[in-house]
Amino acid sequence: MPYSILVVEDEPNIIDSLSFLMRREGHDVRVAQDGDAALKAVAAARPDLVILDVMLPERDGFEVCRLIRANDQWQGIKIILLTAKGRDSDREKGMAVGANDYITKPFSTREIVARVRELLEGT
Amino acid sequence: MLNSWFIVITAFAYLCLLFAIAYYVDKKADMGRSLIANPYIYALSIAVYCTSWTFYGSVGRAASGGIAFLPIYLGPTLVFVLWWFLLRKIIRISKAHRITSIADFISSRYGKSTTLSVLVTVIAVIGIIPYISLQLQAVSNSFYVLLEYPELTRPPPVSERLSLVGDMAFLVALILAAFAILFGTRHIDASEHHEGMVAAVAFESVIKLLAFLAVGIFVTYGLYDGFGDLFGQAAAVPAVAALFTLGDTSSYAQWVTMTILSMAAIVCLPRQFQVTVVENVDETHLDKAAWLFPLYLLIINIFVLPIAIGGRLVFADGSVDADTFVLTLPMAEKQEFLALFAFLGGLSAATGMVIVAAIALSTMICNDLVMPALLRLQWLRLTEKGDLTGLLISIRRVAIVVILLLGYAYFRFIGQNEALVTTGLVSFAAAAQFAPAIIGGILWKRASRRGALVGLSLGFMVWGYTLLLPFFAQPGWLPPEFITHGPFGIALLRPFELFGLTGLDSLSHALFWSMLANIGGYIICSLWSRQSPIERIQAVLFVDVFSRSGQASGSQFWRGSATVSDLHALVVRFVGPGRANRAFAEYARVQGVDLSKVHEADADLVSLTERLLAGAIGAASARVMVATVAKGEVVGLEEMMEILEETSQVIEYSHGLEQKSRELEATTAELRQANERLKELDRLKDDFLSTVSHELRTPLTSIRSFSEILFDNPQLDEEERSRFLRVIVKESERLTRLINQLLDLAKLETGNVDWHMEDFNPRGALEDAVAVAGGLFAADMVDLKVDLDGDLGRIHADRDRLIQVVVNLLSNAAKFSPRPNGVVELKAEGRPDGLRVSVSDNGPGIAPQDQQLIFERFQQANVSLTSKPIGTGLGLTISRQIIEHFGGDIGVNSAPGAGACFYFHVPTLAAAEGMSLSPAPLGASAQSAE
Amino acid sequence: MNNFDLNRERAVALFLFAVLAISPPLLAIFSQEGRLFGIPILYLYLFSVWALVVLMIALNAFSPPAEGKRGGLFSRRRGAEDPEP
Repeated sequence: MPYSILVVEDEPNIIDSLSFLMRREGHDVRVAQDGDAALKAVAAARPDLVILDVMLPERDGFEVCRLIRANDQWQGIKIILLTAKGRDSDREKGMAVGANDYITKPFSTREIVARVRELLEGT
Repeated sequence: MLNSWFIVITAFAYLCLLFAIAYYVDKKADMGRSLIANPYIYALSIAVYCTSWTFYGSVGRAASGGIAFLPIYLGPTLVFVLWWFLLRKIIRISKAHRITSIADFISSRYGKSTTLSVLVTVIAVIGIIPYISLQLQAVSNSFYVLLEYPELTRPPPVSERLSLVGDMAFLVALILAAFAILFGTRHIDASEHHEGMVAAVAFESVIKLLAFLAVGIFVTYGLYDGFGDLFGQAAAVPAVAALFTLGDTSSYAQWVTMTILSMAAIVCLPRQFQVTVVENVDETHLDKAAWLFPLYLLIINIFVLPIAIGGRLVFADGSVDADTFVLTLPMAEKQEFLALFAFLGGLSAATGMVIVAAIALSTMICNDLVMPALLRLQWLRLTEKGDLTGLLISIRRVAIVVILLLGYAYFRFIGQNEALVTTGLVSFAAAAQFAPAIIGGILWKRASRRGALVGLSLGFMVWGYTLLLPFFAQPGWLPPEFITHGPFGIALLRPFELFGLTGLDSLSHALFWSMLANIGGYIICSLWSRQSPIERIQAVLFVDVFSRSGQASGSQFWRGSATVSDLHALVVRFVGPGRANRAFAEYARVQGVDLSKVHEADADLVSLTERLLAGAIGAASARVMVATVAKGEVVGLEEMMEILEETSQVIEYSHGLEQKSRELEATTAELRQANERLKELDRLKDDFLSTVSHELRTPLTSIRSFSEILFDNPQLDEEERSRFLRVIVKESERLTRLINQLLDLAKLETGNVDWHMEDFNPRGALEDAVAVAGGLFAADMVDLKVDLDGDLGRIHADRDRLIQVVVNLLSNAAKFSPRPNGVVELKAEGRPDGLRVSVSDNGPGIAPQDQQLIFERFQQANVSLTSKPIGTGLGLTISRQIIEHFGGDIGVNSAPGAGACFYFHVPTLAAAEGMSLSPAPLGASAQSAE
Repeated sequence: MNNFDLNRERAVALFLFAVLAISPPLLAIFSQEGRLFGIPILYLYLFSVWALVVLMIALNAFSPPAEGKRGGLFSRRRGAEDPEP
């Protein structure tokens, strides 16, 4: 069954590739390019899963993740954090704010597809 | 109306007022409230320096010698300029050692020598008696002059005055004795303050100032029309006009003599020592008194010359004694009340001096003369007897009466024919003999007891021979030939022309010979005699008082085996049980010991006992008394000295330690700072790596994703395939560029760059840069204007690197220019200070807070909220490194919305030569830059 | 403590000035018959110098401060080159 997926990323080429991968899996894909737009998109239509880049202009991915988790109406949304910073501390921080998974760039397309699938179908 | 009874009653009413003031202040002090603890009262009490000598005598002196009276007041002003060195140090020492008098001070300094204290006391008493007599004489004279009102007369010869009992001066002397006894011997501890006495003296200083000013203003503005009129009329009379100037050479010699004498007097006179040092409540009061007292002297002296001149003009016939002008001028104008006020002023001046001098001298006589003598008389068994406080008080009281009677006798039988100032100066010269011992004592450690003894004795003897002895010739006690031809007809020994020294007035003559003998003996004997250990101890304690303020006194080196009860009993006998118990209780409290359970006294308690006794009976006697109780004597004196020297070394060592620990502290602080900085750098490095990681991973992510997509999806259509491949290529280029720049920057920062420095005209390089960047502008439809006109000079730089910088600036400008209508302008100009190249755009501009930041690695101004920064964020950092290597600087001028103008300066060769006088050869500078 | 030393040196300088100002050579210069503002020159000179000296003492006199706090010696300003994000 098709799921609704929100890709939050500020690098156009990465948006391109992620969109391609998710569409190929049969999901509906929406895109937001910064934290505020992401929150608006979530509010407008609840996605099943968010692929969330950490390094965003203005409001960063951790913050967006925390805000989503703080809202009762948005319980159950899956969140995968994407980061280009390879620090362990960031991974821990990502888990602390409530992300379901944490993927480091550059990622393997197969792996990210598998993780998404796992998260969505595990429910 | 000014009949004798009225004058007498007024005078006694005034003296009663003094008693009342002193009584009131003492009562308050007993209740723990000090009314005198302020610098103003302190300064006024020091003004006891101004006696009837000032009040009457200065005018008398000025009437014949003009301005020559002034040094007596300029000298103290000079001393107070240096109050830090002298007074502050003397006060600090005296408080630490509970010094009670000037004799005590000198004796303490030179090893607590009894001989010295006796000698100083004798000199002081003999020297000051004439001074006291002068005051009584002034009171008596003024009384008789006032009595004859409205007649103006000279005071009658003493022999024609009333009998002893009816003589005003005698009555005043008795009253003053009573005052001094009541308010000067209240405490057994002479180092305690006599607050009532100080208050009364300060009050008298106010009265005498006001009275003198009143007379002065009356003369200047009442008799005459101000200073101009007064001096104008005087100028018309040649004899009076002569007062405007100093006369011949001898008056200059006398000027110098009197300045020196008065400088010594303000420190050495027993009564000045009393009010300035012993009665000082708080050392900081000196701050204000240091200028208030000289100011007082200045004010009280303003009208001396006008009154003297007024007197000379009004009493042109010379029928009136100039010493009484202050009184007779108001009388001549029938100003009864002013005359009476002036009389009271004179009375104030006289009584203030007599009271303080009597108290100071009585303390000295008791502590430094009588007690040591009594303690020596074994058959009195004084050291074993019970309560001695009564005895001490009695000695002081008797001493006061004796001093005043001696003063009166001197006035009655010897000094009556002298002018006031002459008598006063004889006393000054006596007090001045103390100056070498005191000043040397606080500045010169080697000064020894023997030096002080010899110096003082010689000086005193010369003083007596050249100044005092001639006085005895006048009442006929010595044959006049003694003075005119010398003793036994030996002309070389004539008192006024000793050893044939002529041409000086008798005072300068006496001062010269006495000081020569005094200082000479003092220095020579000090240099050629050995100090005993206790002298060395005291010398160190006195001279170094400021550097060892923590230590109370040297007697802490007692190590005798005294019992607490013995010591307590000793203190009780001399200072009374109340004070003794209080002092011991305080000691027990501070030390945290229960004295009733302790048998053996420690050194501190012995030292406390000695200090308590010193306050009551003087340092020398106190030492003797403590020695009777603290058996086993003092620790071997040599040993004491060792302890002291050790203490000095410890102090020095601890100073050194302190210095070291301060340095250590500083180093620690610097280390901490460095550590903070390291942490900061570590954090920055971490951030930098993280940023680099991000910058590298981002293009890599695209490349990997699309490669995998292409690999996994062979069925993709051609169009999509080539789009994905284009992304891969572009991102690969981005990655390459980034890696190159990172390496470039790393090389720049670590200095591993091969610089190809050469001298060249930058125009060609700039044109090349435009050519390289031109493609960008064509593709982006941005207009590029180039202005390279004018003489750009030659620069010393790396050509390729310069091009790199310009291209970087141009491409930045192109990126941030608006589309369409973007305009970028490259401009170069040769300025006197070097080459200036600027690249300006009409883009969004840069906020002020970002203008410094953008030159840092990976810091890009946020162009907008939505778009990601363009470029690697390393270009400007690299550019800055390059330009700085060329010896120039780079910066940006911008305002948000108004475009940005990046510029850099590079020094031209001409500018560099203009700045340095000897320019290095070009080759050498090129080499050094490699 | 530096201030204290400075004031001490000033006191010495002032003392020397005062001594010279009332020394015979200078007095001889001012010891003239004439008058300035109706006041004998020497008289005017001496009281002016005197007043000046008193004023200078007043400006210079103060107690040494209690052992001062040693602060700020190493509180260096943060380096300007520190890039603060």
